Amino acid sequence: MLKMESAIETLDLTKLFGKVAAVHKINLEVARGEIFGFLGPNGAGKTTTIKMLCCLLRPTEGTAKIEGHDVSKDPQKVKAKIGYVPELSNMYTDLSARYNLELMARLHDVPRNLRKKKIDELLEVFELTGRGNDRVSTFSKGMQRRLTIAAALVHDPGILFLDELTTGLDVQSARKIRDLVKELNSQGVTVFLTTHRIEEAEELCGRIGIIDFGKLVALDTLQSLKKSAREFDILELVVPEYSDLLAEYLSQMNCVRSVSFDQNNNVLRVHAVDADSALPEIIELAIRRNIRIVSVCKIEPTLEDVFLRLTGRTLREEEPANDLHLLVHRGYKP
Amino acid sequence: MIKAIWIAEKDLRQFFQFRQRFLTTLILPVLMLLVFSFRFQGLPLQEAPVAVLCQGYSEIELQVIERLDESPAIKLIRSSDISQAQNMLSAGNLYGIVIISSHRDGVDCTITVILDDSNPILAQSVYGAIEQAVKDVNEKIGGIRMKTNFLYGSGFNYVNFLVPGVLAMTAMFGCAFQMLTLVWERSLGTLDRILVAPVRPRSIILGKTLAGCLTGFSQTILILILAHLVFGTQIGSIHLVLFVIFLTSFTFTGLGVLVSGICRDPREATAYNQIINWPLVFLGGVFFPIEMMPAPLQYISRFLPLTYATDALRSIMIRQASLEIKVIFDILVLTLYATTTLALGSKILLKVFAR
Repeated sequence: MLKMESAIETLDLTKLFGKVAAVHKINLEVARGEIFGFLGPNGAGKTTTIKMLCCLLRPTEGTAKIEGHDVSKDPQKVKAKIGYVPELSNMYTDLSARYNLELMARLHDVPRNLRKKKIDELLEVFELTGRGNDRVSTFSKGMQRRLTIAAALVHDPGILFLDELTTGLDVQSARKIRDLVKELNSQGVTVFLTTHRIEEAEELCGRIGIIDFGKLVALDTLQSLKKSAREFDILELVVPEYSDLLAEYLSQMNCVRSVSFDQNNNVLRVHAVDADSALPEIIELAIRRNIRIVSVCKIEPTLEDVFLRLTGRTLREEEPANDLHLLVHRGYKP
Repeated sequence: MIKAIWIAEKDLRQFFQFRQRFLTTLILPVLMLLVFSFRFQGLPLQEAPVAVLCQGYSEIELQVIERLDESPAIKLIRSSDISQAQNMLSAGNLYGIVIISSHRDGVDCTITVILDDSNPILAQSVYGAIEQAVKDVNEKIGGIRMKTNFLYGSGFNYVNFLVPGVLAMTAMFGCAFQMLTLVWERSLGTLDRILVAPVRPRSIILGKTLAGCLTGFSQTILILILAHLVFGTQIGSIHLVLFVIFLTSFTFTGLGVLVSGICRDPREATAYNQIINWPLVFLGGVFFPIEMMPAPLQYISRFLPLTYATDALRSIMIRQASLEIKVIFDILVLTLYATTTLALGSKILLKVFAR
């Protein structure tokens, strides 16, 4: 049985600007139908990587293949199969929305008789129907972004490259667009996206690659990455008052490593090896001994934690102090 | 009030940051000084080839010929064949013909001067030199009458001289502007949009070049129609004119492609365009003939594409020439320029597209 080609495959992909390695020996493989995320702080090399995969930049070393076609040797074949949404919307602002889409359709060899239908369809899906004949310069930022995404879909590409998809969008528009991406993926489109927003990566991606200073520091499914983030899970039990009994019993459980009590919030914090198996035990105990527990919460590690563990820094550069503070408060030792 | 000064300071910083832009504002006046100063200082015409035909050897004729010979402005060529002389005049190898026909009484004579008025300024100078010579002899001996004929019937008409040059100039400026858009697209990021589509990079360059040619071409045609309707400018062979205009557009599009490949910033590209275009205008014989420029400038002028475009258009439109040697040569030079700049520019741009 023939092994199906991966949608995207790279081998030691490297890009040097002068002496600086913006991207250093990236090895990854994205299967067809996946949503793959590239997560990393600004300047990590995400955009450079995506540009190389879209044949906009030439790799200095290494190779990349899109559905078997080498980006350096067969760029035309690659470009026919991909759609690219850049970080900054780059529509022709002095021309109409419709014309922008028409031009893309022409350049992407969309058959003439299908063009109008496809453009009308796209305008409707992206809620731009009434404004089709208006100049893009009259569009709001969100509308320009939607149009940019629409332009990448004119030729029904099998693979979508999205660079910071929801940058600059309000929460609602961002959500709508993420839903759209999920919809497209369910129809079979492979998606490769870059983001520095954790919630976006968590919501959309099956597998995630974490990139920092041009190097791939982790590549795995979301779940596996989270598991690797912390040695222990954290359970937070909100109790009406401190219960000696509960605390003692918790400490004696095999899977529990530490218990602490937060007086201000009446929260018992439990560090356990496997929260999923510890939890039923705890609940059972509480019921047996008639101990009241107001609520239980499993604090799942976030990709923030993953990144922190791997690189020693947080993704959100704006609030590094806060996050560390929180983590320390929770009794987590990095 | 003081804040106005801070804003001015910021603008000045930006202005001087681009040295090229600063230079361009200087290039124009310097050129004008250089080129116009000799013009009005009256740098005399030197060694303009003029044929002289005379029928007899009367005293008066000899005097006139001697006087003409002495004139530094004229290089006198003795001839006996009127039709050969006329052919040479039409071909632009002579600037004037002087026919001396003495009267039967052997004392008076009539001098007929035929001038090539496709270059009215030149013709004016030649006429001036001949007139001076005749006047000198007239003062000594007297009895000379002078008649003047213009080969193309338009006389010392500066507009006719100007139009072909202006057309070539329009073609040049029209194309330059269009090619700027390539640099704009690079800086705005819209070029990526085209680059990520399955389009061959050569097609991109070809498309831009085509647009450049057509914009330059259409603007020039409009001016041509205007000149014809308002000033009555002759067009000559319309096919040749259109061809040369298109070729000129093509040449300057090639230049534009070269500049686009080198520059990353639109302001830089604009500056380069100005530095290249304006000297071309002044040294290319648009406003006055290159034959009347100082020798070193003439030498430079021979290497500029606009010179050949202007020359070709003048030949076709005013001298009503068709494919004669001079015109073919002009066309060949233009073609050489067009292909070289386009080839070089494409090479650079293709490298830019695949960074």
